[in-house]
Amino acid sequence: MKLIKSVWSYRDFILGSVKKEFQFKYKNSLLGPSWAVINPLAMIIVYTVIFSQVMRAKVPGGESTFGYSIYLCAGILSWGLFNEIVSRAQHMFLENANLMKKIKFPKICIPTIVVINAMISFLIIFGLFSLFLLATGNFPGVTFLALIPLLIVLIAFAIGLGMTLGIINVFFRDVAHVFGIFLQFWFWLTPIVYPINALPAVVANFMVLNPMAPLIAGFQNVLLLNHWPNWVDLLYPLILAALLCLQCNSLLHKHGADMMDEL
Amino acid sequence: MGTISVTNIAKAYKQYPHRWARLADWLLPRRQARHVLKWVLQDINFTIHPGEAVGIIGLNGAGKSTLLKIITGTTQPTIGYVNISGRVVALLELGLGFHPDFTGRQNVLMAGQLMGYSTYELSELLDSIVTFAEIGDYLDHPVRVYSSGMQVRLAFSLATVRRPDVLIIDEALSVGDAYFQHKSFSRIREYQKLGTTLLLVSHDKQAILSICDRVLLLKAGSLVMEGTPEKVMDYYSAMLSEHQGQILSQSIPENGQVKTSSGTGEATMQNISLHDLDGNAVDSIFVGQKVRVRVNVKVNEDIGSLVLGCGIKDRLGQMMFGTNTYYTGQVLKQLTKGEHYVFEVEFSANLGVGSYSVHASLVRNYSHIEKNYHWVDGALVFEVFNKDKVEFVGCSWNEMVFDIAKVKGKDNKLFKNSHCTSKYERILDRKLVVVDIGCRWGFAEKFMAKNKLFQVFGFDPDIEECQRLTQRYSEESVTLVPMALAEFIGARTLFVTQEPACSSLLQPDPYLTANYSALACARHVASTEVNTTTLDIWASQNNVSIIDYIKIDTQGTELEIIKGGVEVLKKVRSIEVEVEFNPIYFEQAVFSDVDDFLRSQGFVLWKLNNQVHYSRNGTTNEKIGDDQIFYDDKHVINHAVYGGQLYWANAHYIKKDVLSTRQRSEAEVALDIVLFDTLGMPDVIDHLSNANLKVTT
Repeated sequence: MKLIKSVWSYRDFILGSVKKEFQFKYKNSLLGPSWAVINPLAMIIVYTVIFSQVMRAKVPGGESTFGYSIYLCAGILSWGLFNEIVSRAQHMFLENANLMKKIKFPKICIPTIVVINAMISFLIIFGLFSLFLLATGNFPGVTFLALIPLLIVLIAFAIGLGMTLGIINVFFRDVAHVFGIFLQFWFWLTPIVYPINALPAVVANFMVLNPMAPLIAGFQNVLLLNHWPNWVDLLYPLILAALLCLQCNSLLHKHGADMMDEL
Repeated sequence: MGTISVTNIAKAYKQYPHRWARLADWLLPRRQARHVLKWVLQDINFTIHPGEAVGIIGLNGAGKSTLLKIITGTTQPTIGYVNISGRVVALLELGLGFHPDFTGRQNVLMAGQLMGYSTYELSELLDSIVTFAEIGDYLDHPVRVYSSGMQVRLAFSLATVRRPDVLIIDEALSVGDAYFQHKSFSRIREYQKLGTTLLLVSHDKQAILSICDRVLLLKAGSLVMEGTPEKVMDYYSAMLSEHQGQILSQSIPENGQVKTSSGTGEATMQNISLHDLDGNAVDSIFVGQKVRVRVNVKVNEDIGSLVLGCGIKDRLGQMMFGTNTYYTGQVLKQLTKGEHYVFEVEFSANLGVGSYSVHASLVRNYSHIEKNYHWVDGALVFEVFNKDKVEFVGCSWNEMVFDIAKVKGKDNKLFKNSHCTSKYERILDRKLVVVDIGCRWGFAEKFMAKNKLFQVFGFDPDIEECQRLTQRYSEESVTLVPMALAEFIGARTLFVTQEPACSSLLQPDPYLTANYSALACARHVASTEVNTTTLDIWASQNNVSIIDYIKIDTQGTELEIIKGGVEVLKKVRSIEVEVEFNPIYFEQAVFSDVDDFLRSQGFVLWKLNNQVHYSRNGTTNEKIGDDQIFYDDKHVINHAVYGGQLYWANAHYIKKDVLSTRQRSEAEVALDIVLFDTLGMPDVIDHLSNANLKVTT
């Protein structure tokens, strides 16, 4: 409650920062915010061309013209959101050190800004994607609402992980490097580009350990197959997200003062 | 609102022997930590009340900034806690965390929002922020192109756009230029008056002295001292050389002024005292008076060289002036243990009215940083009064000469030149002769400043005073005559009064001197016999054929003396006489008597000034001084109604001939003009010029 209250009382600062960051990102570019769309679009085209056309990959239930593209978009866009939050969050305290040292304000403002910023980019491209689904007659219908709990779990997991890394990163800068590499592996070890049944059975069994797998699968099920997600599978990332958030709360308590000295 | 209380604050930073130690500390907890704590602050306790201005000083690394950060809340203390009530605004380390890539406007918005302003409020306030900062077009440039001064301007303007309950400033203002410092300090003072609590870290001694009510001195993380700015600043200055293992002590003697002393003690000052030129110890002196500071020095160890520094500090501890024997080329060499020296430092107290203290130091060389034997601040306190100078403001006295000329039409050759008097000074055919009767305390500066143009005779019945004055005025143009003047030759009783300046040949009225505290100076304490002569007799005996100007102030016998000088008066151009309206001495002539007589001798009254009133009690509308004395010239507005009864004034008479329209020779005119110019009576010169014009045109 206290957290929400302090976020609310600093809403002007948070919104101002979000706006400024968004402007700043595209400040000296001619195309401006269009880059927020062009980037993932290019990636989707590359993967679509290589996997569905060159390698003739097929996904179950994706036999239609856009089947693989929809499957890919569902995975890549949601992974993109996760990736954005985690990578920004692990640097956020260092980036805002100047401000935190000079003015006293609740630290929760910073992750909030990170989340909102990532959400804006996500919503832009996801909005376009939804329009595409509508236009091609592939819009899933009422199961689309299942995306809301999926997104909540994804964001909670991402920010819990990102903040924990962000705090540790203040003390041990190696974390950002290590995790950058780790993310690469993680992306390819999650069935985003390829269907899960393309994996050998031995590897597929380990997939239960990957908290991102059920989340991404949830998105893919909703968007491609028009199925409700498998709620039981989602418990694992949900519990993990809660644990991470608690963990980072205790980290802040234990090392918050040290962190300010270190900045 | 605005109370800051700091309780048992301590702060330590963790220091790890190597980078892995921290990781080990995190992952493998064990009883003994792998780091050592480096304490930068320890045991800090203080409370600051609303509206108080407190400075924090200390050497670099003393923990000042850390303490401010803890109070602001951006850093957590290791132990202890801080309580602040009210809205806090802090300017830490030059700014408000501006982002270099964003413009001034964006940064103001962002920092402003963080300070709790809404976007709407900020858009309303932006104008006044920018106006105060005066950074012009730079507002829309990225902050990275700003100078540090501009950043501080913007940050300060934003931070103080609304009055906070607590304002914390860490050295920020020293970056700004003098103009902005002035501007910001006046805003700080204004807020302080309205109740803002101020906490300031600065190395700017002036700023601390002028703003703070209290100063905290931090040393190596501890609060070593807390007190009035003067006291702490003196201690701090002494502390700067403390690393030489000196003994530092501070005491508060009876007079309340703090005395600080420090030093290694190879040579010490035994006694520091202030004397007038006759060697009497004094603690109150007059503006411009020549005095001596006497310092007795004892040498406790054999030392190679010794320099004495001496200076005068004002009430706020600010050095008025000072130098040392290194700069005057009087370094003492090869001193041996047990020797004694007496230094006498003579100077003119060209200081403003107020309280001052003497600072003295014994050092090896030109500065105390190198080697400080003994250092004393506030060794001696003295008061400076204004006795014979014009009313002036400021902390130092300097004679100001106003040369005023009315600009007139082209054809006025005589007077249009604003440097008219210097022209007349050149064509004087003789010196102007001035007689000052009752000259105790010396002559007016105006005559001494032009001693080439004036011959001055001073009369005072006090032989000792005449000797003193003879010593003081070495100029040839001054002659002191230790005689009492009266209407006739003969023996008279001199009534010596409590204050010698009030002594008179007439008896002071005991009722008045007993009942009017301000007249206590005229209380009769002794009597002596004196022989009197007259002005005429003296003049003929001493071949003084012409006297141009007489100033006479003899406590009631002015008329007698004038009557004894009727011959001399024929040549006198102007006479200034102290006149009584209500007698203080028995049988004293009053103004009307003097006026009648002088008119009969061809004088007219030009002006009365310096009317003095006394009242027994205070007034209903104005708190007045202890002595209930009013000088109209000084208090003319305040006391026009309630000044009390009029006692005396100075009457300025001018010979009718001088003022008449009759054409006078150029030599005469020159004498008139130089005289009245020196007397500071430009209105007379103006009158003369008009009178002369009428005749010539």
